[in-house]
Amino acid sequence: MDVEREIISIIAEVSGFETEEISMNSSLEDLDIDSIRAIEITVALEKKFKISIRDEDVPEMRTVKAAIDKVNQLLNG
Amino acid sequence: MDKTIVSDKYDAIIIGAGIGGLVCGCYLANAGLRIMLLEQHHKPGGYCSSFRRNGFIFDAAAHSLGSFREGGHLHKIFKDLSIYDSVKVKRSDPSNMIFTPDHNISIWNDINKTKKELSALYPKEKNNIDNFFDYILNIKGQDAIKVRNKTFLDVLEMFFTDKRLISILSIPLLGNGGLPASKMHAFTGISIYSEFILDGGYYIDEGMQKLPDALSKYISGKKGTVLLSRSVERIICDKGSVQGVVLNNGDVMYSNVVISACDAHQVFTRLLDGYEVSHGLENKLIQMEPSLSAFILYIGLNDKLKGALHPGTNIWHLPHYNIEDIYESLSNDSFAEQKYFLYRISPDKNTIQLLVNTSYRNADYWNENKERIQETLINHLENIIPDLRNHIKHVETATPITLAKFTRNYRGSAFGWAHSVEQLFDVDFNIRSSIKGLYLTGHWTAKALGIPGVAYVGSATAKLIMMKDNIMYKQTA
Repeated sequence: MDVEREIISIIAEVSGFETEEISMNSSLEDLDIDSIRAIEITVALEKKFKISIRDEDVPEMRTVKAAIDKVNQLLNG
Repeated sequence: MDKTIVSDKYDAIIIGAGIGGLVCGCYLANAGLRIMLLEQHHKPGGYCSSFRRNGFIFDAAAHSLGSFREGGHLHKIFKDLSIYDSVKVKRSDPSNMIFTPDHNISIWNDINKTKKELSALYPKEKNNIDNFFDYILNIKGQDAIKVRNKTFLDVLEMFFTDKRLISILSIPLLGNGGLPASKMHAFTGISIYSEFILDGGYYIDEGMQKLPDALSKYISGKKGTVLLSRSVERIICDKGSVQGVVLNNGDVMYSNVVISACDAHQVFTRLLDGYEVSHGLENKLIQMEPSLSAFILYIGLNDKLKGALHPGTNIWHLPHYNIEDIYESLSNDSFAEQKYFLYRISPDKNTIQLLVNTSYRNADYWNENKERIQETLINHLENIIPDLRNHIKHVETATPITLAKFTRNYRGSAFGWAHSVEQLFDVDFNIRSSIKGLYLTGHWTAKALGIPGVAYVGSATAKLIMMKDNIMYKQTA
C-alpha cells in the first residue's frame, strides 16, 4: 500500500482539492481545512490504516508531511 | 412520452429539490451560474414540504427547524439569500417537552430555565447538568479530538451517573437521528443538541412548504431553472468525468458539474452510466446502513382542542427508561404498541402530527398493518388528549413506503446514512466524489443531518464548486 498516495487521496476527498494540488508541504490551513475537518481526516486515517493516533498527537498533524510521518511511524512501530 | 432530445449545456445540474439541493442551487445561482435543478416530485422540498387535504395544511415530515439563532446555519442562509420577507419564522417555547413516566420536562428557549428545571428534578446532578450544557455549546479543540471515535452515550456518561437522566437526554437523538445514544456518533449527538434542541422550536408560518417555495423562486429569479416532475434516469459519465444527465422523458442535459442532492445509494447503484464503481464502494453500498424511516400520522381537527396542550411544541412520549429496548422495538412488529412517539399540535391547533421512526418493510406489510398501527397510535394519543377521537375530522398516514415514493430516499430513510460511529466520517460519501465533476450534497453526504445540516452542506457544496472554478464566493449583504 502506498501510504503517501492514500493519505493525499483522503485529504483530497475531505478538502475538495485535487490530489495534484496537494503537496507534501501543504498545510491543512492552506487547504481550507478547519479543526473539525482535521479531526475527520484523523478518523479517516485511523480507519484506513487500522491505527490509533494518540489524542495529543492530533493537533501536531498540521501539514500533509506531518500526517504521513505520523501514519508511517505507527505502521512501522 | 415526449422523446424530444434537447441538448442544453448548464454550468451545473442539481438532482433533487430537497433543502440541500435548493440551498446549493441558490448559492450557485447567486454567483451567476446557469443552473438546472431537477425534481421528480411535483413540488420542491423533499421532507420539508406541506400538503393540503380536506381544508387542512399538513407538514409532510419536518415540521420545525433549528439553528436559527444569530450566527446559526439557517439564520445565515436566510440572511445571505434575503428570504426573511417571504418566509416568516416563529418560535415555540418550550421547543420540546419530554413526557417521562415520572415528570414532564421542558426544553425552554432560555437554556438557564431548562437547566434550572432539570436540576430541580435531579438535584444531585445539578453541577453535571451545567457542565454538560456548557460542553455541548462550546466544544472545540482537544475536547472534540477526544470524542472523535466515541458515542454520545460516552459523552453523557462523562457527565452523569443517573441512568434515568441519561435516558431522558438520549430521547431527542432517537427522534432526530434515529439512533440510540449508544450507537450515535458523539459529534452527531452534540450537533442535535446544539442545533435542534437548544436552538430549536422554530417553525414557518403557513407551513414548511413556504421555505422550498422561496428557495425555488430565488433560483428562478437568477440564471437558474427548477424543473418539477422530472426524474433523472441516468448520469452520463465518460472517462471518469460526468457529462450530463438523461431524464425519464428522454431529454438530455449537459454539464461538467452534476450535484447529487438525492439518494446517494441509487446514484451509485443505478444512475451512473459509463462508470463502474469500485468493488470497495460496491461492498460499502451493501454494508452501509441507512437511518430509520418513519410512520407518520396526520390528524385534522374539527374544532380547537381545549386545555394546556402546548401547541407548537415537539412532545416526546417516553414510556419507560430503557432506550435500547425502545430502539430494538422500532424495527419489529410491536413498534406502535410500545408507546414511544413524538407528536406536535400545530400552533393554530388545527392539526396534529404524530411520528414514530421505524424500519422499512414491504408494501404488503404496510397494507396489512397500517390501519391497526394508526388506531393503536390514536389510542395512545387519546390517553394524553382526552376525547381526541371526537375532535378528529381527517386522518391519514404515511408509511416508510410513502416516504420512499415521494422522496425516493433509499428504504424511506429519514436521515440519510445512519450516524453511527462506524459510518459518520466515511470518505466515500463526501461532498467531492471519486468521479470528476460529481458532487454529493444533502443528508447522504454522511455528515449532514436534518434541515440545518443539509442547508449547511448545500451551501458548503456550492462554496467548494465555486472555489474550484475560481468563482468569487459572492456574499450578499
